[in-house]
Amino acid sequence: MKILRDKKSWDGKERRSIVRIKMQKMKNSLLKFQFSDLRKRLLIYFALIIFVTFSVGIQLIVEVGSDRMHKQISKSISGHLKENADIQSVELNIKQVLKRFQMRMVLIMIIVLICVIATMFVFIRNIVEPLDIMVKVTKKIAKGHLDQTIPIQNQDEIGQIGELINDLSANLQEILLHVWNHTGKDIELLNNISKELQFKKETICPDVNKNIAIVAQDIEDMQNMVKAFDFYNIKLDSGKVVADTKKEIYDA
Amino acid sequence: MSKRILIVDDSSMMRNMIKGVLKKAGHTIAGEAKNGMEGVELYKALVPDLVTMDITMRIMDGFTAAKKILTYDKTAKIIFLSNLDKEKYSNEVEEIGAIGYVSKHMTREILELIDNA
Repeated sequence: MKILRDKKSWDGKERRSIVRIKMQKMKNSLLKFQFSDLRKRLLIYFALIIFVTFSVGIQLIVEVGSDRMHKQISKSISGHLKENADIQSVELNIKQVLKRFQMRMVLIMIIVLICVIATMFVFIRNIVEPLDIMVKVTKKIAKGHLDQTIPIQNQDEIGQIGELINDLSANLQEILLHVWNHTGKDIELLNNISKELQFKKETICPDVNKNIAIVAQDIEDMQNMVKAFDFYNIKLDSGKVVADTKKEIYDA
Repeated sequence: MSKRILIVDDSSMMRNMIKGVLKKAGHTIAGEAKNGMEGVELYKALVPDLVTMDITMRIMDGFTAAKKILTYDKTAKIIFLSNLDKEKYSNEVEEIGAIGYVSKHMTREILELIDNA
C-alpha cells in the first residue's frame, strides 16, 4: 500500500529537503535491514536457548565452587570422624551429598531440555511450517495452477515472499487472459474475413487463404497454451472469460 | 480534466499498466491497493475522485469492495476493469451502482469513461 506523490520543480531548498528525506529513507532501510522480522525472531529463539544454557552452566559452576557444598562435605566428614565412625559411613554421607547434587543437575537438564524443545516447536510452527506450505503451493503454481494462493500469516520475510509469489501468479494470469481475450477476438475476425473471401474466391490470389489458415493455426496454438493453466476464480468458457461458479466470488 | 484516481488490482504489472495509461492522460494517481480490503481502507484515507476496480482479487473481490465503498460514500465513482466477459456482468455492475465496466485492455474506453464521469 503506497501513496504516490508527484515530483515537481527543483528548487534549492527543496533539493536540500529531498536529500534529507533520502538520507532518512536510507537510515530507515538500514535499520530495517538490520532488524528484519525474520532475523529478529531467529535472534530471539537463539538468544533464549543461549540464555538458558548459560544460566544453567553458570549455576552449576557456582554451585560446585560454593562454600555450601564444601561445608556440607567437610561437615559430614568431620562430624563422623568425631563420633569415631567408620570410613564406610563417611563415604555414604559424601555419596548422599553428591547424589543430591546429581539430582539437581538432572532437574536442571530437564528444564534445559524443555526450553530447547519448546523453542524448537515455536521455530517449526512459525518458520518451517509456513515454508513447507509455501513450497507446496508454489510447486502447484509453477505447474500452471494459478488458482492456488499462498496464505499470508504475517508480514515477515516469509510472508513477503508469499505475497510476491502471489503477485507473480496474478501477473501471469493477467498476461494469459490478455492473450486469451485478444486471440478470441482475432478468431472471430479471421472467420469473418474468410467468409467474405469465399464470395470472391476467383479474384483473390490463392496465397491469402493459405496465410489465413496459418494465422488461424497460430492463434489456436496460443489459445491452447492459455487453456493449459488454471485461473484464480475464473474459468474459460467457450471463448469467454467468466467467474468460476465453483468458488463464489461475490462473498468475501 | 485531471482526476485523482485510486487503482485497485492484485497484479502489480496490471497496476503499472493502468498507472501508465492514466498518467499519460494527465490524471494523478492517488494510491494503489492490491486487494479489495486495502482498496476500501485507502478509499477512506484518500477520498479519490475515482476508483478503478479489478474484480477477481484475493482476500476481497472487487464487487464486495465496491459495495463497501458505496455504502461508505454514496457519491463514490467506481469503474470496473476486468478480464471477465463484459455482457455477463453488466447487470451486476449496474446493481452495485458503479459507473462502468471496461475490459482491461481497452485503454481508450477506460479514458473515455473517466472523462465522462
